[in-house]
Amino acid sequence: MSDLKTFVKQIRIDTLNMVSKSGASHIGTCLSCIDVLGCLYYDFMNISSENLNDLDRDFFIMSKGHGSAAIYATLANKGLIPKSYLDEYCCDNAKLAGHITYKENTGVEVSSGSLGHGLPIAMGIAYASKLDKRENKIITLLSDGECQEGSNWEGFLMAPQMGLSNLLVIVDYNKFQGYDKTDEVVDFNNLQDRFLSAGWNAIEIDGHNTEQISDALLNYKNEKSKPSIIIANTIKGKGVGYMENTLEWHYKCPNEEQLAIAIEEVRNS
Amino acid sequence: MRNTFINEVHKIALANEDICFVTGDLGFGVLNQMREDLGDRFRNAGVAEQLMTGMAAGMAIAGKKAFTYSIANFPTLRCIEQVRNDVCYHNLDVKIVSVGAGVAYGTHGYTHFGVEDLAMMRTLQNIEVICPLDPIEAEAAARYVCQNSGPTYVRLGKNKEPNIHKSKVELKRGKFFEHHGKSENVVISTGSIGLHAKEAVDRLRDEGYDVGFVSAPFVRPIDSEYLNQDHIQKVFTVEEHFRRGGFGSAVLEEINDLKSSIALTRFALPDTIDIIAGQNYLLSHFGLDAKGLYESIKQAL
Repeated sequence: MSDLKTFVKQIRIDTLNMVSKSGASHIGTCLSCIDVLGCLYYDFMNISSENLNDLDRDFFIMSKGHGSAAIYATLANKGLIPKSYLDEYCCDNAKLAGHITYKENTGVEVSSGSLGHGLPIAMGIAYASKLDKRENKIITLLSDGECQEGSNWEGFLMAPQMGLSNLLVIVDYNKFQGYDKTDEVVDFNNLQDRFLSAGWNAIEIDGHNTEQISDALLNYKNEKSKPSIIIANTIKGKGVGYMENTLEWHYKCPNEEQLAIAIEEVRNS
Repeated sequence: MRNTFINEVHKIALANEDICFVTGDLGFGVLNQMREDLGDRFRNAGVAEQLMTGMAAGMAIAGKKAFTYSIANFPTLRCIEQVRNDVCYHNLDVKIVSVGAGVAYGTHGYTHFGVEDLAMMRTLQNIEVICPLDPIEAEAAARYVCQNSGPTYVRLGKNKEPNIHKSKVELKRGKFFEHHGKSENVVISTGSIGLHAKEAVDRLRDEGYDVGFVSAPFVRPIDSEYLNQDHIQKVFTVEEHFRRGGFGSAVLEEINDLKSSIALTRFALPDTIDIIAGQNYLLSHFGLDAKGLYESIKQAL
């Protein structure tokens, strides 16, 4: 496999192509979490086409299911799903849906899209892994807006009590949700403090700095008693100047000309 | 039937290490021994039904057979989307168990009733819906869900219901039980309200009417083969659930699909429950106790 920087770059390019070609939404939310996804799948997680169905594999649950193009592109670049699947993304009779949809032997663990489901599921997997004394990692990625869902708070309160040190939650704190800036709906600036006081191993990082991401993942790996949460400060639309920090690119889809500009910018970064 | 079901699951779980049990903060005096014996395989999810159901789904993904457990409305409607998306859509081995079906919680009030749950649960994909008649069917339901994989909703009554079956039975997927052999007219009942339906039928039979009692442990799948018999003229369904969308509706749909000429009458709770009373009073008030059913069915025969 290529080096990490090239790996992440290719995921961005594939994601842009998928969204543009299919006329889908959510390119901004895909771009904000790709550096994190890249670091997870490049060499941190124990997942490969050989162990896809082994219970001791590492699990990744994409709770922010609207970022599906990004995780599909990541899985394809990891060699877990054929690249040809990406070409049909969101088309009629496609193998890959606009909100991540489970499919056997692809590395997609669960379908999501309705927010607030990934954490309780990840907790159940983590708890069962502990029961069976497996040492695998259970990771779920949440959007910042998603942290408003009550079901997540049911999990946030309970996970430390259950001693789920094998659980990692990553929040893609890109500061935008469907209709507003996230902090104007619910101010999450003090999110780390809330988790520290609730008994989590909580760290806040720059979610585009791969060194910081890798250090944070290592910190989680070494944690032996508490569940971990990484609040990843990210930029919605990261990597494509005209998309960055805008609400409209939560919905809009780049046309051919815009796509060419976007890919050029990512290539040269 | 609640204790019978729990005791049977408990017994099976001692031999099957994959069985996990997650309760939504319910079980005082009922689950204590199982909790002690299962150790970490038993978990109180707290007052958090969405978490309970999502976690059970996660456990099933990780190879477990996971039970969820709470009062009528709580493991079902309170977390219907976790049941829909996490459990049913992924076709996971999760057993959703409710206690206090229908109006069993009586004077606790409407918030604790399960009167829309059948309508909601039976529309979900991949799910089976089981409502035992009596402790014998409840015990069989426990064995059935432990032997079979996939999402199941088990709707239990409360406790101390008498047995209607005379001896041990085993559930077969989607099959009703005939209690009186073949009849032109049958009363088909699901769940513990069958106690009243059976009593009504027994009185009518004593008076010489040709009517039989059938219990339907499965609301889904429905027993299509049974309903597709030419000798059946009239069917009366009985359930402790709102009239819309429940067991009677399932039978009605099936009869329609079969293009059957069966005349169907559905006995169920009305659209609105606006009085506060215990279960027996409510069933009597709505004509669903043995006396009310006897009178209504007699008239229709």
